[in-house]
Amino acid sequence: MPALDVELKNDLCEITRLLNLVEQFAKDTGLPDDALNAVMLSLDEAVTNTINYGFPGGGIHCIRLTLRREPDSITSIIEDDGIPFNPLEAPEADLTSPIEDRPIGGLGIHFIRNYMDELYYRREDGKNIFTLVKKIS
Amino acid sequence: MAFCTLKELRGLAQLSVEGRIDGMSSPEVQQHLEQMIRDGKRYLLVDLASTTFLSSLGLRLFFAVQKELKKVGGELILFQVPEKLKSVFTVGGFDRFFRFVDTEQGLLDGEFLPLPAGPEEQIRPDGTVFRLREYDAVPETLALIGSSEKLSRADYQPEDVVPVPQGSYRYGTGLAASGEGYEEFKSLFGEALLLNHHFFYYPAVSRPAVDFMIYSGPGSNEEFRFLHGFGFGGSCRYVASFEAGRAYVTLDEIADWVLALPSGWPMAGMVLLAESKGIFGMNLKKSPIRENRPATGEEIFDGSQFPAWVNFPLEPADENHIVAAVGIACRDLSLCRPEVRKLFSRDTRSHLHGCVFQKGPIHKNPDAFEGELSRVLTELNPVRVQHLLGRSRFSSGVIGMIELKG
Repeated sequence: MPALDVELKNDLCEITRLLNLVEQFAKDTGLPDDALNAVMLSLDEAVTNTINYGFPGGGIHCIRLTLRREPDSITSIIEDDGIPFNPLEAPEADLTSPIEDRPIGGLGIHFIRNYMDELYYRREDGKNIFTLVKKIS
Repeated sequence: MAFCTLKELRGLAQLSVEGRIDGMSSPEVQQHLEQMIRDGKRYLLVDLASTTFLSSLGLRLFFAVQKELKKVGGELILFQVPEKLKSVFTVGGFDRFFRFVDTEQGLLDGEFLPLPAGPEEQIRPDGTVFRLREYDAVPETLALIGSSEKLSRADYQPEDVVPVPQGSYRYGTGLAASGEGYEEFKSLFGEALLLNHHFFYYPAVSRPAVDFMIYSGPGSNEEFRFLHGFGFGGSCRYVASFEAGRAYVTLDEIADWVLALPSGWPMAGMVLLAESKGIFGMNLKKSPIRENRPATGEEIFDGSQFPAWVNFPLEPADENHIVAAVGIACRDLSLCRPEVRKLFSRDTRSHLHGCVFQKGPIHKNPDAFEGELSRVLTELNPVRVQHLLGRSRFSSGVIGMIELKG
């Protein structure tokens, strides 16, 4: 199975590199546009969140991303040594309030839940391991 | 990465974004949109036909701009949005805040296009467009407050102070302060402005570290203390929006246009709400009371005294700030009462004081003028009040006109 294994630093500039790599991987493996969009959105949200909130103590950290293309799905695995954070337990965003008082933010996990088909989280050896699966129809 | 292209489509300002709108490129997209708003555009067409990706940051950016535009009677219209990007709006729950238009015909059908020039629209030779609305209103009388006789000698004394109770004049301009006893306010007289019974003044203290404004809302029972000035009431006979044809139009040009209206008023009361492209504003640095009088007996406008007394602008300031101003313009001073003539400095035909507010866009529909004035006066932060020189520049705005008997 085609796979991509990449290490990202905890720096927001890395998001551009991440998106470039995912786009290239999608091209190489013939990933449909919808699935690519879903993966880019979800990884952007998840990795941005890890960079912003995962390392309150600062310092340089490594975020490892693995992409695996299977015939009917694409799986992304994000591993980091940041503070424990289970995205599956994050509260739902409130999308019903009127335009004047809608808070900006709180959307990331909402996007991931909607665009992905299966999500798994585990904490292992001091690491967050977040697995996102997108089915390809 | 994204490439931004600006153009105009059927009279609407259009921004096309090619590539990804993500954390890296959204600041650039944001800058373009903000510049379009600063340039006076209210309907922004954002063309996403060649956009390959939209992250939640881009979504939040469009939403923030939409919120700002809705306040000022504008709209961000999404044009040619690919389905996969439309789903980002839908999934985020943001689709209901936007109109999506797929074709140029859709723009026509949706009535997004600027209205064709009607009889109320006038285009000046420099390209400046005025859109005029007329309302029922009767001529008003200009009331003079106090006297400017003692200004140049800085010789005001307690008996020169004219109390002006809140509610006396809807509009007014002058040199004033507020407070109870003369000792309390005597060193604070500065440029003042009354607009819809909101009173602002800029105490004439030349210590930049304590730059401050004093404000009273319409509900207060205060008496304001004027040294001199003028006031008037009534409602606007005309309200016009204007958009500069080049980078800006000056206050002098606006006054000339007001005075050239077919009605041919000898004198017009002006209420201006506009976006600055550089204000030339003047204000006193010392209260012109006898205690502060130059010991040498010179006038405060003499060369030797002027720098200490007057903050005189050499360069335009406060670009992109909102300015609310009140004053008068006169076609022919020889037709006026002598005491009215004194309100105009040599070679000028207008006299306005303006309150500079924070930066931002304003709502420019003439029919929404009163509401927009109220929003600016009550919600935005005032910075200072100054006498506006005629070369002050504005990109666009709304002006209310009240007929005054000479």
